Amino acid sequence: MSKKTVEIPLGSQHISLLEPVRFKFECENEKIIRVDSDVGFVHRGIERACTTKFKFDTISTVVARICGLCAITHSLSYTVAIEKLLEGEISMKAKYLRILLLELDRIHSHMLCLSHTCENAGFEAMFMRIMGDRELIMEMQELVTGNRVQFDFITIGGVNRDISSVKVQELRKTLTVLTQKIEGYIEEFENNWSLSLKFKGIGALSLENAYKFNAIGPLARASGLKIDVRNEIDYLPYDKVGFKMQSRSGGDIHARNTLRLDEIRNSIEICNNILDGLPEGEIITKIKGKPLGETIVRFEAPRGELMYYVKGNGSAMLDRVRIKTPTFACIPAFSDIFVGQDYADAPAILASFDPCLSCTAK
Amino acid sequence: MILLELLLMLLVAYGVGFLYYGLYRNITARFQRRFGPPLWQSFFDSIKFFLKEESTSHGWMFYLGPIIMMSGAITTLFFIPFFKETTNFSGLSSYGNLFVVLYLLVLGPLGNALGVGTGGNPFGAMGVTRGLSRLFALELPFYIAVIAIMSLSGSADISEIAAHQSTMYALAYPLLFIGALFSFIGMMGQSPFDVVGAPVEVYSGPASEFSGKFLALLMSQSAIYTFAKLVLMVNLFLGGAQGFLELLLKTFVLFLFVISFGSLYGRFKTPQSIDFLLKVPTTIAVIGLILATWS
Repeated sequence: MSKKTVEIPLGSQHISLLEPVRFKFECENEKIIRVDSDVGFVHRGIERACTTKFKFDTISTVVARICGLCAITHSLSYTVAIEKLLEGEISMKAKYLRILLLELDRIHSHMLCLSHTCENAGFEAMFMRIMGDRELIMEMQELVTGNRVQFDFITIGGVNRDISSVKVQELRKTLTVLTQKIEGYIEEFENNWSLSLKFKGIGALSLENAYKFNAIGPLARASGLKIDVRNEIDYLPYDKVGFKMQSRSGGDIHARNTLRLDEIRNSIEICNNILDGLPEGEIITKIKGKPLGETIVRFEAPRGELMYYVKGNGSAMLDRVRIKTPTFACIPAFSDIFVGQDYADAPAILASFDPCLSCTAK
Repeated sequence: MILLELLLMLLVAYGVGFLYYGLYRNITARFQRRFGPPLWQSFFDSIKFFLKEESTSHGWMFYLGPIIMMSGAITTLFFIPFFKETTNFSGLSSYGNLFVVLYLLVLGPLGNALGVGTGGNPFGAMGVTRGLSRLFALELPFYIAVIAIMSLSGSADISEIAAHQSTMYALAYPLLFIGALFSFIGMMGQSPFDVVGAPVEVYSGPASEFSGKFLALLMSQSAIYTFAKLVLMVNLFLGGAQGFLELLLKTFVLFLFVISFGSLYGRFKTPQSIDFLLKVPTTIAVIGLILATWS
């Protein structure tokens, strides 16, 4: 550190990010000229516990505890991996219900990110408004699964709860209200002068750098890099429920925010399509056996690609469970974006990444 | 007798300042669709902090900073008369005019800079640097408006300026009022000019290193200073007040406007604040000055 610069830590405990990550900024006046990142503050040993403490049929509940926000993606990824190893096929209705939950989860996670970005940029009223409207999703999740968070909805062979026609009507009503709210937010994020001052042109990641740093998820798509696991997998029928790849070209906070709003709009559309065309059938199929062999499963979590590697040996205890989370993959891109930005923008930039250290520190 | 009056002025400012702070937290909470804390929570917090032991040690200048700020707030208050056309609650205003008050308004940021500068906290230092960078841009439209109304009133005496307004200057010369109001929002530390103490960026900036008694002192200073600045604005632009009820009503309306404005807009960065203040309110105030001179 030269004499003219000052070192400012953002984390490991910081009001703008209540998770264990530290970015050390070397600043000249308020301009960030160098960034050092550290993500190794917490290690929960979940991967190890999955192979030593729990049988394969209970691990879906364990991995759901990795993260409160994308619990459904974790349990789904693991469950699909086991179903692949056991060569079991589940009903179309269960697949549709899994997508429904996955998309509801994506909506509430994106709304949390949007609100958090607004808070870090100094728009506290906007933060509270979005958080208030996020309650609609929490209520929908409770209606479908019985819980607001940590819903152990996914199980090997299908899902745990069916959805009645009354619940379908309730969900449709709430989705209509939510659509109106989201359209309002799109209007505000696009046209509000005060918001544009803090978001447009700030914290940009170019398409070249998105490639270079292997950015994934909304961070990559906001830079124009069209990658989305939902477009590539065949475990769930995304092609039948109206999934559309979203992308923006700016790469800045504004692009990330508006991309998330576009994705929310598409997720609502997917949910409505599912409710309209929910197939008849069982919600759970009995799948017998013990996992033998190895497999990789990828899903698009709200923050990007979540990958599970599972290796079974034919017994109830697994040989290996390896989890690659999206935030960890994006850390190099995060660090690059900060350089050259004002420290005043750092909290908003950080929130716009939507980092999940709970997933990373698994 | 004068000592008793000064003590009463201080008590009123202290009480009303904390009441307004409690209202600020509650009204802001309602804007954000939530319930705020109890009305007097900040007051009880400050009392609690006064009873705490001080554990940090950064040298005498660190401790002198809050004391300078408190002295500045109290002295400013004493030079601002509460009411027009009466000597009651006029404090020391007969010994110093608006120029003295304008000088004293700078004492707070100065004490802040001296105290926080020796603390060594990077967030505090960053907050102070932001504050001092923004100070000139913040003062310019306010001073232009103040010069205009001093010229219009033919006096620099605050009570005479208040008494001179047959129609409130805010209504008679709205451009001057708007120009000064932008500065006033910044002086009150409200959004969008709240970059100095931005909680998610610099942990409340200058206050970040203070704790215990000195944090309580800063909270009390802020309460007194808030009321003093509100009374000053009421005297300069809203025709002053003739009784406590009118004073409370006018200060509250002004306060409500300031916090409502703050709830609508996000935080400007320091260069954005300076740029905006020098372009928009300063231009408005200059046009207001020209129109006032012609009229």
